[in-house]
Amino acid sequence: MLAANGITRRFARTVALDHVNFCARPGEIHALVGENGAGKSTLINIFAGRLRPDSGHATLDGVPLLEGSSDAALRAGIAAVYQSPMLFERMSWEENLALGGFDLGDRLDLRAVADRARQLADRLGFALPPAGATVEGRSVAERVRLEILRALSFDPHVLILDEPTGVLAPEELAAFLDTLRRLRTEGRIVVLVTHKLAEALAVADRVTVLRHGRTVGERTAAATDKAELAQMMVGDLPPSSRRPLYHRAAGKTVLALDHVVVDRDHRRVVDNLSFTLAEGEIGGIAGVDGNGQAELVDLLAGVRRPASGLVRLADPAAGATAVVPQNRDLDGLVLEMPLWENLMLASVLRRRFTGRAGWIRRAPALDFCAELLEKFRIRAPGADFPAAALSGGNRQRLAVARALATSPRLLVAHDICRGLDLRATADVHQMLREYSAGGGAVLLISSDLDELLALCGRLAVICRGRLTEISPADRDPVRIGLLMSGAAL
Amino acid sequence: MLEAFATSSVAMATPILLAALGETIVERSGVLNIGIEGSMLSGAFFALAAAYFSGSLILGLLAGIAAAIALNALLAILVINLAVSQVVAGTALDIFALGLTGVMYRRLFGITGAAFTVTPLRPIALGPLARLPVIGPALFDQNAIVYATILLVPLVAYLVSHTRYGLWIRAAGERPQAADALGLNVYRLRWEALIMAGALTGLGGAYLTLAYANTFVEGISAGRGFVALAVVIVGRWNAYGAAAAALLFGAAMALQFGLQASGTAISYQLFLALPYALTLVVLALFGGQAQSPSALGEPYVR
Amino acid sequence: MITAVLKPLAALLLAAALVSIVLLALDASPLGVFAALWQGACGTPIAFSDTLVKATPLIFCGLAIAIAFQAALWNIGADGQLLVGALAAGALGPLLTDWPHPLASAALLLAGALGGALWGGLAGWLRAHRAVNEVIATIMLNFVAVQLLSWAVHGPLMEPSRAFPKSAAIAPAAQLHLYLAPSRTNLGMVLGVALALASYLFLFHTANGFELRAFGRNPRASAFFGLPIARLTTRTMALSGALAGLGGAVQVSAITHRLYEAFSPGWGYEAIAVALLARLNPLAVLPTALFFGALDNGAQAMQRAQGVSPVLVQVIQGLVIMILLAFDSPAGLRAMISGPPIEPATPVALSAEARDA
Repeated sequence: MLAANGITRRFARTVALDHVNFCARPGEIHALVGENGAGKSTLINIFAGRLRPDSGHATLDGVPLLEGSSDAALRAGIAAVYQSPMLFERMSWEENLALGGFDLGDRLDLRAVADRARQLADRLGFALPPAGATVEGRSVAERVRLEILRALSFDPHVLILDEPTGVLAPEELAAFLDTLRRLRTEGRIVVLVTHKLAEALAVADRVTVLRHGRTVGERTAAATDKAELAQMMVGDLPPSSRRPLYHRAAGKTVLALDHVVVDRDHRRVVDNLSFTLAEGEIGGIAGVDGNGQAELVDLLAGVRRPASGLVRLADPAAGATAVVPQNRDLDGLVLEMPLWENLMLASVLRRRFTGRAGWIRRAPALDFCAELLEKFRIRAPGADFPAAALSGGNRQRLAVARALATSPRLLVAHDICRGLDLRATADVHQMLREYSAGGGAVLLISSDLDELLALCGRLAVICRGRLTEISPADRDPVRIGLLMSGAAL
Repeated sequence: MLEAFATSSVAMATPILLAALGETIVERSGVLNIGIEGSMLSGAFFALAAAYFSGSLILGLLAGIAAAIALNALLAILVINLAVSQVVAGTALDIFALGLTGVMYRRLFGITGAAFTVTPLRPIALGPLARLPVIGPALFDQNAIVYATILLVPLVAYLVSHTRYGLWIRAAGERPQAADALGLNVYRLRWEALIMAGALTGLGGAYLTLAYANTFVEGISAGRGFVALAVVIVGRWNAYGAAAAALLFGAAMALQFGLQASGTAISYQLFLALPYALTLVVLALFGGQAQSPSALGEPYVR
Repeated sequence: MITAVLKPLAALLLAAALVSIVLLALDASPLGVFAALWQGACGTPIAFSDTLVKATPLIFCGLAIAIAFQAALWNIGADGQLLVGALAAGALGPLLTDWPHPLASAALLLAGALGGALWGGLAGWLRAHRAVNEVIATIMLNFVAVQLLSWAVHGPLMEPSRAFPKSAAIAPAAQLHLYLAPSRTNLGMVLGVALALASYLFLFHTANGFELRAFGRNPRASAFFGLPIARLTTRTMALSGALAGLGGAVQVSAITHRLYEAFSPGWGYEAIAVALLARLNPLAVLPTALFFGALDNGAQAMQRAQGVSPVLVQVIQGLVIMILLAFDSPAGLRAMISGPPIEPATPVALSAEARDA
């Protein structure tokens, strides 16, 4: 039995887990569900030994787990497949698996590793890459399969999976769920972290719901339904304006992507992609991470050139296109620098506050920053404080504010509301609507269907670098979800 | 003539290769050790000092190795446990070692520095193999350290590419977070890499004073540690590549003596500069770090 | 402000303590050594002015390194850049006999700056366009510069009498005046102070300085926002080299009036400690350069009085850098024992399904 007793865990300002209790029994599939930032990943990181709880403890069969040691967790029989990739790109897949539990015996024997892997893969219905292939060239789905294989290679009592099914094709999904059921009959515990309630209910025996770091409740799958779980996850939802915006594009074309191709590491990551966007339109590209979105954003930011095809912007001047990157901390902000200097990363703003001989006009820049903080309701100690002093959500607001403040003709945002709570999300959505109503064009690239369906007039799905447009009449979330996961039309 | 050149090339390549073999392992584990120069210099000084005062070459060798290991351990504390900038820490160690060996040298041997020599390590001819043309004396009539170095090349290659331990090391250098999640102790792996490298570099330093120059002058390593860094890059982070690259630079250094001795009109400074300029040219041609271990040089905090 | 000074001070004290241990091990008296250092550095007015003279090249190199390090460009080659600057100045100097005074000195200094800029810019270009690690590149160029200088003073630049390996004297018009004889206080020091101020203003009050600092702290974001990375790299290294080269030219112009081998006792390396102790702030380079200049000056007296080699100063430099690094460590000494937390992976947003109501 895997249990958490009163676990609390803080990160700087945020309480990620607040006296959380959890219990999963042997021979059961237990789903852990919750919204963004509910604390699911934190909890499983504690189980897997990568994090220490501040108080409370995790136990396996009544024995407390050694905290903060992933090695101890593995030896205790807990294996996890995480959301962020944990494979070694430049090594072969056999070497990757050898670092799991397939490497037995005195000497490293990659062929034996491959054989054992093949046996397990056959049972699961997984295909394996060609012998000796490095992980670098593999698709996202193949990588997830390899990670699952590696986790199972440890022959664990407890298998934890963090959002694993997003990238699996439907036939793989069925086989995968069967695997989980088989593990259950073997007496193991499977903890499935997911936001897909349908899948959770299809395969889990019991479901625990987390919200804002607290355990909201635990239900038997048979005794509950999606509606109840969603209500538990989200609490009382403010009325989200989910009217789809069938905005007829009357304005000029602002962006035209014409059979664009991007190759990376010998793989075609953007495959003959064509898309147009007009003034006043909010367009959306839905997809699971890793299907070419990052490269597409790079293209639009001007950081990458297409191998072929054209990226045509109505206004190619620097600053006419503003980009809000997916990873604000890595690509968007300089955390050590004060907020007002972060604003100046945008060339338009930098030019505005640079006088003769390159001299920066500090006072006006500081004032402008203060105004921006006020207007976009960003909670910060002051314009002169480093970006690191802000919470993640407020940093994201700053990145969006900066993009909008440059008055671009085209705003491209990748996962614009990731990590934001409901209020911040609503605020940002409102900012986008106002901006597009004023004639700006917005391109949202996201995996959040709800957001896209609520905001976007034009919608397309990207999968393996190819774009499929969704007609306004046929916006069925289930079908779009299938397209995102790679199922054929 | 050719034989002298070949022998000299191998001799000059040896300390560089030893340092480069160690650094290959270290960089594969994800650490960039700019302090090799300092470790080599320390190895050189302490090897000679120990041999001089004890009369035993073996003790000298061990002392040289120990000194370099100690310096690498200091680097390990800084860059692994304290996760500070690897470049700056390495440079600090170079400066520190230069100063420390200089101070101790003058304190122990005065300004004249006369007679700070020991009987050097003698070459051991390997029978009929040593009589082969050109490669005979070059590869089979050298001292024990050179032989050890030649044997170490396939050993290190095998360790890194074909053993479980080598896989662990490479995992730590590719993606330390993933290695950690798989139960590997990244800190310990990097520490061990630095200790191993310390032993190898210390041996290389000891070679400089106990076999090659037979005395100590301040800064005797003369940038060989930095050349070793280039050798690792040019050798593409594998032992055989490092051996080839080290031989190339050893040849450049040997060429310098050969041409001077032949009394050409070309200034000797050109030849002294040759190995360093060559390093630069080779690096510029072969591009730099495209294939380096992914996490190289990034401090990792668990 | 107080805390900003506290760390460097603490580092110095700790370094002094560690050096004392080394000295005791070598059977020397730490107090005697420190007293001799103090006496040699500022015991007499002439000693103090010599300290200023010794600090001057450290100011120029310290500024060079501070600027480069702010851009996260690890310029270990300030020594070589200084030498090439000196070389350019020493080569041009003798030819300026017919030039009027201020112009001749200015031309000399300009030559030095250009020489250093070339040497630094070369390493920057290699990094920007050939992905060559600038640490290795600049160190290799250091060694090449030493040989270049040696060749010049033995060969084409050798003095007419060909008696010693040194270059011909530069024209008197190209020399920087000395003030307050018999001290060697010169205009070069004033230039150093002026450049420190200019560097500070450049880094923190101009758009280019901002780009440089942003690039140093987050190259990915900088690239994303269209900052010209390659150009920034090359230009910053050239600027850095120019400052170091200028330092070399000032030495030739004011102090040595000619070139000879072993021109630099390692100013370029010492300046790394200078820049780090100053926490990469150009204004703070002035006092830290003065400090290390004092150490260098006092070291001679220390050798005479206590028999300890002047290279002890390098031991101090190395220790100071390591201690400062440790103080600023992201892992910290406490974390070293207990282990810091890891940030979990960013969670995926809620899908339409889950929001069904």
